[in-house]
Amino acid sequence: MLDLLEYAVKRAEKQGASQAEAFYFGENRLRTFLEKKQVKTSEKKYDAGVGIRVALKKTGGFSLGFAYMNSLTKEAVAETLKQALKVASFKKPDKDFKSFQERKPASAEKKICDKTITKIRPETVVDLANDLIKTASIDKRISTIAGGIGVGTGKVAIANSLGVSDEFNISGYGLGAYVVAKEADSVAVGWDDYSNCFYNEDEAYTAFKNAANSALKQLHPKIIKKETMDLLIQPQALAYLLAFTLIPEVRADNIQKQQSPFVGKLNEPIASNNLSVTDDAHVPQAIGSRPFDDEGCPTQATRIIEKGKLKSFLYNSYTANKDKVRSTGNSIRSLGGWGGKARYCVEPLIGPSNFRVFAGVKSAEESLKEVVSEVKNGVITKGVIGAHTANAQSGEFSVVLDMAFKVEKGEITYPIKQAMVGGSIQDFLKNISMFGDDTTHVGLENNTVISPTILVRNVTVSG
Amino acid sequence: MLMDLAEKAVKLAIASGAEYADTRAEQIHSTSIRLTNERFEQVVSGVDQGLGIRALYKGAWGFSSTTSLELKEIKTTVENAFKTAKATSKAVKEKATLHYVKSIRDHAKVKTRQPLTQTGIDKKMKLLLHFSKIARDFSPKIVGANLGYDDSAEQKAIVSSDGAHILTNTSRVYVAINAIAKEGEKITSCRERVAKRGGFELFEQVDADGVFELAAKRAVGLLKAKPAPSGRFTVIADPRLAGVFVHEAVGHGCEADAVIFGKSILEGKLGKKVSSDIVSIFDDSTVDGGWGSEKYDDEGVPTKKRSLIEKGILKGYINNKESAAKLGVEPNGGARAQSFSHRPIVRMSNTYIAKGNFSFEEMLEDIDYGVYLKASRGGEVNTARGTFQFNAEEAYLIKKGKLTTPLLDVSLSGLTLETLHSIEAVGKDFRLNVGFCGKGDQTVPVGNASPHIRIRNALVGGRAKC
Repeated sequence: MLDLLEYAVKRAEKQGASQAEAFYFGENRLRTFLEKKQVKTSEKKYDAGVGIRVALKKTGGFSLGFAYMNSLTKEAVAETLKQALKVASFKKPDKDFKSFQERKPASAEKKICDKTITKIRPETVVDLANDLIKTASIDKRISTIAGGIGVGTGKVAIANSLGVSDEFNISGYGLGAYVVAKEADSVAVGWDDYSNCFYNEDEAYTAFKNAANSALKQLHPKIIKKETMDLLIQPQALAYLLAFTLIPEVRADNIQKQQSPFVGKLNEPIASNNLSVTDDAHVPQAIGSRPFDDEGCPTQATRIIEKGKLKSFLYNSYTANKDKVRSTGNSIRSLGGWGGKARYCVEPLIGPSNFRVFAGVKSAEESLKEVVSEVKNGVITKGVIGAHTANAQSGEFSVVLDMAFKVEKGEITYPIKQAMVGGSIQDFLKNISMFGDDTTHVGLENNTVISPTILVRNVTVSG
Repeated sequence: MLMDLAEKAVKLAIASGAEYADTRAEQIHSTSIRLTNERFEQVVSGVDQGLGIRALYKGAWGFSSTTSLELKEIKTTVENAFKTAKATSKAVKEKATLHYVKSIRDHAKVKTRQPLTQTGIDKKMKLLLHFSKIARDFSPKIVGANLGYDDSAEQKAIVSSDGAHILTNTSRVYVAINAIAKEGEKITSCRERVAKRGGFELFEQVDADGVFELAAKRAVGLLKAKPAPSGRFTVIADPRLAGVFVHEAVGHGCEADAVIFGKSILEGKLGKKVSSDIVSIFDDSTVDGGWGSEKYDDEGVPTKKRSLIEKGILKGYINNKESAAKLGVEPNGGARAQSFSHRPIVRMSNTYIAKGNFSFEEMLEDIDYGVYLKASRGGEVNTARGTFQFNAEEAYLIKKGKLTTPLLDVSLSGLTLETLHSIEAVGKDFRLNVGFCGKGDQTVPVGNASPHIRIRNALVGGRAKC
C-alpha cells in the first residue's frame, strides 16, 4: 500500500503542492448478531480508502486541501488530488500551519495485532454466539438475549513529503450482550460489553452471564425520592460520560477555540486531589494503542490530570505548533456527525488513545467492596443514558441512570426505577472521593476509557 | 454499470443456492465541511463506491459488502454473503421467511435544480463563511460559531431476487450551526439547521440567513437563564422537542424488528389503547419535502404512509419483508440502510403527531407552576423498558399561566406509555423538523414533526439545588 501512497505524494508535489500526505486505512470485519435468543445474521465487510492532504505555499503561510477516494487506483489519485488542490487554492493561508509530521522513529507496538483473528471463520463466531445464548439462558424469566460479536483486522499506512512512510497492522475483538427479563408487569434490561485487540472467548461468556444476572436483579425496581447522595459510577457509565465532557474539554483544539471550561486552567486544580488521568497509547492489547498517530507522529503516555491538577491537553501537530509545544501524538481521523465516516474520509483532528482514570493517591484506592461499604446513602450505576446531550463547552450534563441500584448503609440493596443526575463535570471531578479495584477497558470509537468504579460525593439524584 | 453489477451479484447468489438475495450498488459523491470560528477544520470531499449483498439461506441471513467494484471482488463478496448465511443457518432456530413483493422496474429521481456535483466546493465553503458572519454579527457576546455542511448525491441500484430492479438518484444537503455565546463565566449554545432532499437551490428557497441569526439570538437569550428545578411538573414541549419525543419514544417502539425481537413495550398491544385519545401518530415516507422521504426502501419495496397510533389506539408497525411475513401483514417499505456497506433494517422515515386543536395560549393559561421546553440537544431511549431521556436546548419556567424565567440545561425523561397517557393537549400548530437517527451502527436522515403538546406530571431534570 505504501507504494500507492508514495506515488500520491510525489504526484502532488509535481502538481505544485509544497508538501503532501497520503493516509490509508483498510479493514475486514466479521460479525454475528443475536436477536431474541437466536443467531440469525452474520456479515463480512471490506472497506479501504485513501485520504490525501496537500499544502500550498502562499504569501502569509500555507493552505491545506483534502480529498479522499475508496477506489485504490492511480486514476483515482489524479481525481482526488485535483479536488484537494482546489480546496487548498480557495482557502486563506493559515499562519499556524508549519509542516506535516516530520519523520521520527515510531514507538514500539504493544500487542495490538492478534494474528489468530485473520483465521477466524464465520462458523467459529456463530458457534460461540450459539453457546453464549445457552450461557445467558439461566432463568425462565429471561425473554430476550441479543447482542453481537465481531472480529476485525486492519492496516494503517501513511506517507508524506518529509519522509514519513510507515504502516502497522491492528486487530480488534468486540462484543455486546443485551438481555431482557420479564416478570409480571416488570421489564428489566441488563447489558455488558467487552473490547480488546485480542480474541478471548472467556470474556464473551462472562459478559453474557453478567448481562443475564443484572437483568434479573433489576426486576421490580423501586421509586426513589430526590436527594443529595453518593454516586458510585461504574467504568462503562464513566467512559460514556467522559466521552462527551472531559475528553473533548482537554482537546487542545477546543481549548484554542475557547470552547472548554478548562481554558487557562493549566497547572491549576480542576479535580479532587486524588484523581489522576493519563492518556496512554501503549497499553498492551487496548483498542486505543498505536505506534504512531494518524499523522505519523510517534505516540506516548501523556499526563492529563495529576493529583487533581491539570497538566496537559491532547495535541496533534497543528495545535502543538500553535501552542509551541510538542505534539502528544493524539491526531485522530474521526468526524462524527452524519453517519460515522471511515477514517480515510476525514482530516486529522484530536482524540484520546486510552484515557486512563486512576487514583493518584494510593490511599484513595480500595477493593470495590470497601468502596461500597463507605456509602451510607447512595446509588451505584452501570450506565448513563443521554451523555451525548452534554454541553461540552460548559461541561454541563443531565443524564438518566441505567442499571442503577440503591446503596444503603454500605450494602447494594434494590434496583431503581428511574433516576436522573445533573450537574457540571467540573463539580463532579472535584467530588471524587474513592476508587475501586475493578479497572475495566471500555471501548469507544477507536479508543478506550480505562477506569475503575469511582465514588463521587454530594450528587443530586432525582427519582 | 451499477445496475449491471447489482443484477450480476443477485444472480450469482441465487446460483450458489441462496433462497433470496438483495443487493445495492452505489456511487456517492459527498462533501462535509466543518467551519469553526471562521477556520475550516474539515473540508472533506470524495467519492464512495461499493456494493452490499444480503443472502438468505435456510432461514439465516448473510451479508457482505465491499468498496471495490471489480468483478473479481464482487464475486468474493457474494461468496462471503452466502458463506456467512450458511454458517449461520446451522444455528438458526426460527427461520426467517419473507413476504415477497411483486416485481417492479423504475428509475426514481429526486428533482434538483442545482445539482450538488455541479456546485463547486469553493461555493459551498464561501456560503458557510457567510452564515458564520451572520451569527457573529448578531452580537459581540457571540464568541464562537461552529458550522457544518454535509451533502451527498448518490446513485443506487437496488436489485432483489423477488423482482426489484430500481435505480434511484437522491441528493441531500444540510447545514447546521452551533452558535456559542459567553458573558462572564457563563457559556451557552444553540443550534439551528436548514436542510433539503434536493440540491443547492435550497439556499434560494429558504431564509437561511434568518435561521442562522436565530441561533445566535437564542444563545444570547440563554445567557440570562437560571439553573432549572428538578422534579415532576406539567410541561409544554415545543414542536421540536415533541418531534424528538415522538421519534424516540414512540417511533422506535413501532419498528417491527424491535417488536419481534422482544425489545419494544408496544409488543402485543395492537388494537389496544396506548395513549390518550387526542394523540394520533404516523410515519410517512411519502411526505413531500420530507427529509426522511424515499420512494423505495432498500429492499426495493414501494414506501407509504403508515398509521401507528390513531386516537390513542395502536394501529400498526413499520415493517420490512421479514417482519411483515412474521406478523402476517403487508410490507410497508420500512427497510433502510445507511449505505451499501450496511444491512437494511427497519427504520422510520418522517414520524409525526397529527395536529390537535389547542392554541399555545390555551395550553399555557391554566398551568400554575410548570416548565416550557424548547428544541432539543438530542435524546436516547430504551425501547424494551420504555424509558427515554432528552435534553431541551431552551426552557422557561411557567408561573400562573405565564412564561417567566429562562432555564438552563433541562432534560425530560419518563416512561413512554405513562407519558403518552399523560398528554392532555395537542396544539394546532405543526412544524416539520430535520434529524438523523442512529440505530445499531447506522445513521439515516429522518424527519419528525409535532404540534406543541402538554404533558402532566413529567419528570424534569435540572441542576438547581432547590
